[in-house]
Amino acid sequence: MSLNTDLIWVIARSTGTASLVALTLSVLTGIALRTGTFAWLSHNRGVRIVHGFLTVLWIPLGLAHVIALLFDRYAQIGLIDLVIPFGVSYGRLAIGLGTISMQLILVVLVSTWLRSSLSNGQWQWFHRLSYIAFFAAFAHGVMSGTDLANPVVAALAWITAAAVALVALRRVTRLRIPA
Amino acid sequence: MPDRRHSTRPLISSTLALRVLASAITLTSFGGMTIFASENLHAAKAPLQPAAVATATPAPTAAPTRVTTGRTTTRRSVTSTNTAPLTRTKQS
Repeated sequence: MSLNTDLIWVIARSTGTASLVALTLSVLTGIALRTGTFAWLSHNRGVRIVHGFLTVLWIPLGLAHVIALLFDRYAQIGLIDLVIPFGVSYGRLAIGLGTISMQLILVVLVSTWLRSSLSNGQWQWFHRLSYIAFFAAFAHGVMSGTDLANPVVAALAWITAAAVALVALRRVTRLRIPA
Repeated sequence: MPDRRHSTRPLISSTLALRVLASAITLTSFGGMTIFASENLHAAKAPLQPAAVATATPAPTAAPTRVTTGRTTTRRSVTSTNTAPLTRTKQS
């Protein structure tokens, strides 16, 4: 295995998938705080702690995914593509959605760190961007992922989306599971 | 009628156990994907192929060259032919 090509390519794929899984768990626990979806699993304080803890997991994985792709000469992604989406010469939409997702997540993170200086309403609106960020990340994974031909990987991807869609639907319809 | 919310205990009450569970799910997907990606480096049907690399058609040359097609890198040093060999040996 060549260090400069294959290892970087493996890291890019594995960190991309794992960060999507961790991001899914983060979104699920975030929605569950309002809906009580995971009340059967744990109390709300536990779900809140896990929701915060998951940033420790998906931030490094997401960063590793981006850094690996920056170093991957085959992918041809530059620093400018992290700032300006849809500028890559190939797969513009697929890769651009990844950039959009990353930028929205950054906004959500910064707004969370600045929560004390924001009103609750402002913070909530910033935090709701994470829904768009998640679906942009999911679409990015589905459209650019090279491993979706494998049924296990495909199942993993669609399960993450289905889980978030189901819990989000519960949130929208304001259904609450009795704990 | 008693409120059911107060009578049902959650499955996991320890926050440490919850964090371990979240870490386990994430790291399992990371480890599994690392193994899978290592064993399946080249995806012939990958949806994205960088144009400059995918359309590269190297000119024939006598010197050893590295040709990249998709994710597959091959080393070409001699020309090959499909014509039948003129002589046959025990090995051929």
